[in-house]
Order: sequence, then structure tokens, then C-alpha cells
Amino acid sequence: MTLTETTTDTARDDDTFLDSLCGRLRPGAVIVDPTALRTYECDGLTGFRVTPSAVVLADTTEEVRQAVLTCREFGVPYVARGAGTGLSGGALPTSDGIVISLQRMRAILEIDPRNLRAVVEPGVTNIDITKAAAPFGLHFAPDPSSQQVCTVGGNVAENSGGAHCLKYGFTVHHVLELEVVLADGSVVRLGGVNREQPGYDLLAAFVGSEGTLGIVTQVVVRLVRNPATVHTLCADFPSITAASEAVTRIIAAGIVPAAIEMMDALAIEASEAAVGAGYSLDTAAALIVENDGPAAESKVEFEAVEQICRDTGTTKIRIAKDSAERAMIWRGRKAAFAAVGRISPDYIVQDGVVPRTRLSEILSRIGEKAAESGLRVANVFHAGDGNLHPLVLYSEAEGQLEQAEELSREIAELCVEMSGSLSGEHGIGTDKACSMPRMFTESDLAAMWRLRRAFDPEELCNPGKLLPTPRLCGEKPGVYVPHALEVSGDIERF
Amino acid sequence: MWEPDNAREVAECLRDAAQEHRALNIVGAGTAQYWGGDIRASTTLRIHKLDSVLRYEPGDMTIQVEAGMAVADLQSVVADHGQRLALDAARIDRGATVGGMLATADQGPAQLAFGGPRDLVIGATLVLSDGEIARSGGHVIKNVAGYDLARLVSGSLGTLAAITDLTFRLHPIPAATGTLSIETGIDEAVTYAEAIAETALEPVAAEWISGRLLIRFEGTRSGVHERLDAAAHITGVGTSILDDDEATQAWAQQAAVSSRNGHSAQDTTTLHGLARPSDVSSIVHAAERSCLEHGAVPTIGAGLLTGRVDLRIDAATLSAHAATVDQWRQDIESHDGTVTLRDRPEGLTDLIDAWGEPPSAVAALRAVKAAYDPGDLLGPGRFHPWF
Repeated sequence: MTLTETTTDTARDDDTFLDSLCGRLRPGAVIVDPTALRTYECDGLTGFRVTPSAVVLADTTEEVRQAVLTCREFGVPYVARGAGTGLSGGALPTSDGIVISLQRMRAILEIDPRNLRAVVEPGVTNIDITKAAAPFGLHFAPDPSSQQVCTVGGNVAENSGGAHCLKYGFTVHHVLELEVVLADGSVVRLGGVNREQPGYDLLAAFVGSEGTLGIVTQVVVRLVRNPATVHTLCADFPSITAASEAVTRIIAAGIVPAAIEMMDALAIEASEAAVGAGYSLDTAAALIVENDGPAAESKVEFEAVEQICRDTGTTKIRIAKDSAERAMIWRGRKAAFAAVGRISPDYIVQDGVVPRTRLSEILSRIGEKAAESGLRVANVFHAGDGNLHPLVLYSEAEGQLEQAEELSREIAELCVEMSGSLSGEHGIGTDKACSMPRMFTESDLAAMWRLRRAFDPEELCNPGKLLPTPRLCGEKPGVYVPHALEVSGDIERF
Repeated sequence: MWEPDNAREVAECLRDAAQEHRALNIVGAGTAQYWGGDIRASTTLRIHKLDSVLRYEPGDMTIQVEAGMAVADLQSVVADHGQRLALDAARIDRGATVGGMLATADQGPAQLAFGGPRDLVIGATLVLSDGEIARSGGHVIKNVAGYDLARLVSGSLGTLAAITDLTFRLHPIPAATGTLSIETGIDEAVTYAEAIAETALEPVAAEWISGRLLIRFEGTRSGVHERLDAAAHITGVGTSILDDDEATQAWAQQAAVSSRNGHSAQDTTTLHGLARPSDVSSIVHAAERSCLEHGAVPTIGAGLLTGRVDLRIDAATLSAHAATVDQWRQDIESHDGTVTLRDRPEGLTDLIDAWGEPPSAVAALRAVKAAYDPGDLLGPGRFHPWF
């Protein structure tokens, strides 16, 4: 489904709204030029495109607040946006609404090495926090593949993970405090100077709320000490099943590597064509495993990982000799997504999660489904936490879009059937909102609506995202499929 | 007292309570009944009979258990597989339940390495005040589908929903654990802990208890020894590396600061202060000062790298308790910190508020409370005077 709307169907008194908006903000802060607006019509999920009626380039919290207040006064929806790298359509505008861009708010306000924290504006890129912390031997742990460009405000909205979240956790584990502009125009702080705070954990509920509960205008993040040692290997396997077995055994052995990533032959082919990181082109799958920590522990664990790889039939192990080789291995891994563009004109990235013991099962099911549909699926993903990223390759020119979307949806829903989740890190956004009833019952979703409405009773803050709505999904958006454990009687719904 | 046997019955209890406009005090093992404000509820809803393991997948290192299960029982189930729930709050020894852990957001020394209950919970089933069931999260450690209601109820102290089951991420039990100890004042203790934190030795806990610094490491046997030695090199003369019995004793002493046996004793107040790690020593000094001025006896435990200060006050009169709490709270608030009133003598909240300065987001807290419990039937009074 490609959603294409234009501004022509909005018959409201836009001029009064825009005049008011411009009047409250500094000159040049509001974009209305149709060509310039096109830049904001989609995020990283390019299948969904809607041109907003205006874009506010906010410089300060006060400007965000004024924009929100104006929207509230006129009943105009708004969508916050960072770098626009999201992959679930979370920053998709509405045609009758505006985009509030936080990209100009990119100051690093404070690095506090003693308290292991940094105070930054939401438009700061993920990597820039780590760069600023590096002189103190510290880093910001969440490291999504888009870290060179994605903003920390976006990381907060999506609860971003990345390759190293297996050991270090997700954005929610690394944010101490947020300054947010709420839907009523109030500016409040969630969290505080300590990781633990009295009262409901609004901070943790806000992280990952996909921009639907308010707009982040300042972030206090935790900084993590760089590990004493890092060991990285890349192991080839004759089959995805063998590589999955290695992952299962590593986890079951009680080892918590910093990262376990998997790439299949198609993903390797694409990545090698793009960056030539030295992956084997003749292997069915490769695992990248990184162990870090104190010298003795990480060495013991790394040797155990190596042994498990051998026991499960690895055909070749490449161990990074130095940080340059490690960086090269990671470059190949992190480039894989974009590189898929080299072997296919179009692709859809999926983000489902399965329990780690079911990796090989889900991957063979994906293989079967791909064969049935006649489309190719490349796999490059966070194996250690069961977070798949099947890339469904298709050609829009050849009319394969619908077929690809169907396959992609089937894969996500298959993950749910296997006690997993629709999304591990990309978010529900616009893309998977209509699949939510597959994972949650009506009463689960109603409980989530309560939170949304407590923060934003008028539903102006990023409407149509995360939760299914009749407008988006039809009156009956989907059918709840009982969890496997409910079918087996292990758990019950009542 | 209502003691439902299962989640279905919990839902029935909440539906009945809603119909009768009956206020409920939801408890697990009852080890945190006095935390926060005084609850105005005639009926207690005990969920301790919900104590089964619903699903344990050792290979995935996740477990789903009913909320009334004692943390200690969960630990013995998963220990058979070399696994643990990485929580070490003091109340666990007194039978605290997993639901109670999340509802109180209670944490022990290991919070330095693993965070609190909300950092380990990956799924929850809640029963809302009208009896509606809401599930959030799931069985996988990485999951961003939907709002995280499990984390929302962290710290809710029974005022937002009844928790009927929780799913947690587990961690491996380390091959070895070692503790370093040195008798020292708070100022030196902070300096030592920060120096150790600046290395990449990765302590999992750094606590100061009334004149003694304890640093804990986990890992392989040789690795832990290496790091204990390296840390002892930093702390210098007077440092001892404890044997297993000594370490157990030392950590029990640490736990005793924040956890008392029995309930609302007439002569003891326990307080939980939170601030920036760099403010810990001045907050400890402030606690000593407040107690001295009002004739109270302090016992202090501090999480040095986490910014947590637990203060136990023993004093003869209610007014001495009140004056000490009030003064210390003002001090912490001047450092942007917070104080939670935990166990205390009856009548203390007639003299002082249970909670200090409300957070800037207090209106949002109220809105969330109103959305989930519009009739104010769950733990009314717990967050008074905030709401």
C-alpha cells in the first residue's frame, strides 16, 4: 500500500493557522515552500509519503512549545522529526498537519565524566555523543546501524537498540532524564539526576513511545566506560541452521557477548559489493561475535565462543587482529542494509523478533515463504537477541510491491506466532500499526490508549502511529491470534 | 483481606471493588506496606497465592512467573540452570515478591551493573481498576511493540494496576564473586570508588556502610582475583579481600540498613535518598548533621556510583524523626535529589508530608493515575500530597 495524500484536500483555514505559527516563531523558522516540504514527506520507510502543510525548524525548546501551542489552538496535528532515518514511518506527516524538525537543536550542552552522563539537545547524532565522550574513555552504548546520522531524539522516540544492545541494553537503559514538551504546551522533565526516581516510571514509558506522548527537547544520557578489551571474530557456516545453532549454544552457555550478528549469503554479497570488508562470498552464513570486558573474562568467553563455532561446524574463523580489522568487520555489517540496494532495485526491511532458541526455525520458515512468493529475502540481523531483519527484495517497476509487502507482513506475524514481537527496534509507526491486533488483544490496546490519551487527549501528537485506528486499518483492523501458549493451555486470557 | 488464587480471581476482585467503590491496598509479601503515604483502604488484596512459574525457557534466559512469587523462590528455580534474576534488593530475604519488586522499583547494590526491576522486566500482565486485563511486552528481550506498561507501573506502589504476572530477562550466575573491604570515611570512599570506576575493572557494586567501603566484582575466578588485586592497589593500605563468609556477612550488614525485620516500629524511620553520584558524600554528611542536630542516631548506606543513600534514623520522639527527615529532605532537594519515606513510626505523616517537592511532571503523573484508576480505588493516599 502506498499512501499518497496531497494538501489539496485540506479545506481548513490554513492561512490563519500559518500566520499565527509564523507570528510566534523567528523569521525563517517555518517552511511552506512546496518543493522544500517534499524533503519531509517520508522517513526511511519511503513507501509511505505525505506532504505536510508546513515544517517548523525549531531552534529552542520555547519554539517547540510555541509550535505545539499553536497546533493545539487550531487543532492541527504535528509530528516531531529528527534525521528521518526511522524505518517504520514513525515520522510520516499528516497532510493537514505540520512537522516539527529538531535537527537544528544539535548542541552538546555538557559532558559530565564524573557522573557518567551527557546533556544534549535532541538533534545531536548518536555518534557525536560517543565522539564527545571519547576523550574521557566513555561512550554512548546504543549503536543503531544508522548511528552516523540518526539523532538521539529519534533514538529516544524509538527506544533504539543496535548491535551491542545484547549486553548493554537499549536506549531506555541509557537515558536518565528528558525535557519534553507535552501536548498541553507544558515543558516538564521526566526522570531525574538518579536512574531511580520516585513515582510511575514515566521516563521509561516515554522512551519508545514513537513521538506520540510529547516532543523531546533535551536528553540526559548515561555514558558507559569503554571496555578494557574487545575480541571480535567472524565465523563462516555452511548453513543458516548451523549458524543459528551456534547462537543458541552461546546463549545457553551463559555467555553474554557484546554482540552476535548474522548475515546470510545475499547480505554478504551486497555488503562486499559496497564496502569489501573481506567477508567470504562462498559461505551460506556468517556470524560476527564480539566479546568485551575485563581482560580475563573476555578472553575466556571469546575462546568458548570460538570452540562453540567449531563444534557447530564453522568452515572458517577470522579473528580481528586489531581495531582496524574490527572496524572493517563492523563496517561490512553496518553497511549491509544500504548495500542491499546494489542487488535489488527496492527492498523492505522487517524487524520481527523471536525467542533465541527458535532462530533456525523462523529462518527456514522465512526461506519457505520467500520461495513460495518467488521473491528473494536477505537476512542481516541481531542474532543474539533474536531480532531479525529480513530484507524483502523486490522491483516496484515490475509491480512486485504488493507481493513484497504481503511477504513482509507475513514474516512479522509469523514472529508473533512464535512468541516473538512485531518489532525489536524499528518501531510500529505507520508500517505495523494494523498488525498490532495480531500481538495484542482489544483490551491490551485499550490500556495503551489510556496512556496515550492521558498525555495527549486531543490526539494531535503524531496521530495514526503505533496504535491501530479505524482510519488507518478499517473498522476491524485485524484478528487477534491466540498466543501459542494460550492454545496449549500454558497461559490463559480471561 | 482478599486472597485470590489466580489472575482471573484478581480481575473479579477489582471488578467487585469498582462496583462497590471499595478502596484496595494491593500487597505481595507485605514488606513495603509503609512506603510513601498512608493508604486509606479498608480492604487488602494480597496476591501472594499467585506464585507459579508460568513459563521458563532456560535456553532463552527468560522466565514468566506470577506476580506473587517470592523473588527468592524464582532464584532457586533458575539457579538449577546456572541462571539468576540480577536483583539483590534487601527485602528479597524477607520474602518480597516479584510483583512487589517492580511496584516498588526496589534495588540493591547490583543496580550499578544491572539497573533495577524495570531494566530486567520484558513483559507484564496487569489488571486495571475496572477489572480489564492488559498485557504488554512479551517473551523476547528486545521488543518495542506498543507502550511499555510494565515499565510504567515501576514505582507505582500499587496505585495504578494490579500486576498478575511478569516476564524477566535472566543473567548467568558468574563463576566467581569477590569483595574488597576497607574501613574508611565517606569522602575517601567516594574517591576510591571513582578511581576504580575510572579504570575498566567493572565493579558490579560499590557501597559504603557506616565507615566501610565494599566493592564487588564478578567474573571468572582468576579474573575476579586480578581485579580485586588491581582495585586493592588503588585503595591501598588497610584493604582486605574478604573470604566467602566475611563477604556474606558484610553484604548482610549492607542490606540491614535499608531493610528492617517487622513492620512499623515506633522508634525507627528508614529513608531512601536519590541524587547524583557526585553529591553522595555531601548528602551523607547532611544526614549525619540532621541526626546530630535532632538527637537521632543514623545508620547510613550509600551506593557510591549510583547516587543512592539509605538512611535509618533511630530516635526517641516523633518530633525528632520529623525534624530529621525534614532537614535531610531539604538538603537532598537542594541537590536536585529526592527522598522517599519508607518504614516509619505511626503518626509521622501527621507531622511531615510523605513526599517532598513534586516533580515537574506531577500533572502527567496525575493524568496517568486518572486514566488507569479514575475512581482512586487503588492505594489511595500512597502518593499524598502529590495526588
